[in-house]
Amino acid sequence: MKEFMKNKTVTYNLMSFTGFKSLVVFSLLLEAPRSYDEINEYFKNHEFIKEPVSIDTLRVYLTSLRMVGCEIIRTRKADGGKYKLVSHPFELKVSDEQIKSIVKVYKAVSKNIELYELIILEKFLRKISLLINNPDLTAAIEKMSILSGVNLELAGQLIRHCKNKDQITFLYNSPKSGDKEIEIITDKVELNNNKLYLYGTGLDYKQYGYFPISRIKAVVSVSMFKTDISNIETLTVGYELNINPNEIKLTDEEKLIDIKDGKLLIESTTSNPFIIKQRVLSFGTGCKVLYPDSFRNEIINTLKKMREGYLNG
Amino acid sequence: MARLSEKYNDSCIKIFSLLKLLIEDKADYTSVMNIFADEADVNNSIFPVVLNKYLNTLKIFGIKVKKVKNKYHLLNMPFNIDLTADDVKAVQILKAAAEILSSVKNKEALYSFINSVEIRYGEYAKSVAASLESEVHFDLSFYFSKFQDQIVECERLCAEKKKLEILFVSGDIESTIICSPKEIKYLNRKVCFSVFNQLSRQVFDIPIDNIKSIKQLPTISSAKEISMSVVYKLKGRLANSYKLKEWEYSNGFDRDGNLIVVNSNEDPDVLLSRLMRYGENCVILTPKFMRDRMTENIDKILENYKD
Repeated sequence: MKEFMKNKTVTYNLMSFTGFKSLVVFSLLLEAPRSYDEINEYFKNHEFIKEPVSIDTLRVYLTSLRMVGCEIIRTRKADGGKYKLVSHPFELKVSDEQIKSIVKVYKAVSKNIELYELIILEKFLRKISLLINNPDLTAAIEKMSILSGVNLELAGQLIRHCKNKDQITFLYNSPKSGDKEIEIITDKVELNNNKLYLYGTGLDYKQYGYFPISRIKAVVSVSMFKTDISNIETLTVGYELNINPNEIKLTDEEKLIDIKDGKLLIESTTSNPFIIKQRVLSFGTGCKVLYPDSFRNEIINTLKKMREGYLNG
Repeated sequence: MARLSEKYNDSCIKIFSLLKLLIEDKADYTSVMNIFADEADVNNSIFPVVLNKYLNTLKIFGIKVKKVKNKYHLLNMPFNIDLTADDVKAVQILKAAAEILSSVKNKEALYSFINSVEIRYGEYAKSVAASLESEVHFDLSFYFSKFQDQIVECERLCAEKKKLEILFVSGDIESTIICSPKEIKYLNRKVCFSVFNQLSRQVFDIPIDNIKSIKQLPTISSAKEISMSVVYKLKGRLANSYKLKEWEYSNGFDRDGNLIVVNSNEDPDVLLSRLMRYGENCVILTPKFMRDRMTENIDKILENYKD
């Protein structure tokens, strides 16, 4: 061995030269289908092999590879008559137990890691699932994924735009009006209610809003200059919340003003009252809007309409 | 005489048989010995020479093998998977996450999957992994490890499938529930014990830190537990844009264009809070007691404003 390392000359009692050549053939076919001439050319130029192989010897190697479980076919003459490795016993495999564990760990971490980490984890699992072509793993990923139906490349691109607070125009498949272009100043990409959303200030309605990323088809353009949105009208809503402080995670728009008699006083500022409205309603009986009166009345009217819905049907 | 195309090479078969054993992590000395039995007996002094010849072949090809006690282990694969830096990071995430799995069986299965990927790392992936080694940390691991004992206990109860009597706190009120264990749910910074209550045929996700005691009952939970479905309708734009959850299906649209959704296995409190968000665009149709709970909630909130 020391001698080999020194002069790179193969002696037959040092190693199995045939075994080595069969490994080379296998790794060549693993990369791509190869013709006899291509394999021969590689052999001639190889630093240890240095000599061609006859077609009969190559066939012996291929038969041996088949005997250890490789499936090798020959492509049509029109396609170059190349030897193609269809499958082999050294492929990455995933057992049912491993799939169960992957699902378990995905569920455990998916809501507790950063979004960009979730995206790379999801991309990796989708890549492995494609690579090993295991329908059980594919189905398990599809079922457990909270990013199902989301173009992960696009999501990654949108996260990058949000980091820079870029002003972008994207093509959006609106459930109401079909495809349309929307221009926004991006803010954040966030999971909400098991759905991935892009948040930002829309320039058409001069309002903060959010869009499910599964409906965004592509980023059409990125503006070189940002529109000034400092003068956009915002609304500040104050509400009290009867909840254990450890059980609430304030949003970027919310600020804890005070804790009085076990109740939290929270102020939320946004240009889109709908976002606060949904948030306030989701707190149920433990929440009461204090100001402004206009918003307080809107919540009361919504609750009355909800109540009517149950009287009518 | 065999046809030329049927001829095979013995060394070729042996080298790949050895590789197969190594990949499957079954290369103990006896199994390896069996591959070369026709060339040399294990007691024969030639055996190590024969074995070394094949191990050298692998080494020269770039495959590293390490012998630990009486077993050979593969340190790398000659046939790599093309992995990006992000892919390697994903593997690191899985590795760190494996630590929070409480079941030894799950942990081992995940580690074996990670190992089968890692031995297929190319040089680039290896260098990325080395630089990331100390970078991936979960801030949740501390949180989950705080409840490690409770999680292990709940997993055991899930495996044994016996009915349970759980005493837990919800708000300031202590409640008791007779139920069947289902699974552990890891929500956003919250671990819940998901259980099924036969009486109401509902699933409840009880935060593990709210559980005061669990009593295991002698009866085994029935294999088929059909949970109660909540049917609700969505109106307006929401009807067209709503994405069904994994545990929901739709019966299509009614004649007024409302989407009819059938929901099972969602904790009733979580469901009610979610449906409240939809405001007047959502109405629960059945069962009656869920309709009643929703109207009671609405009335209570309206009461808040009578001052």
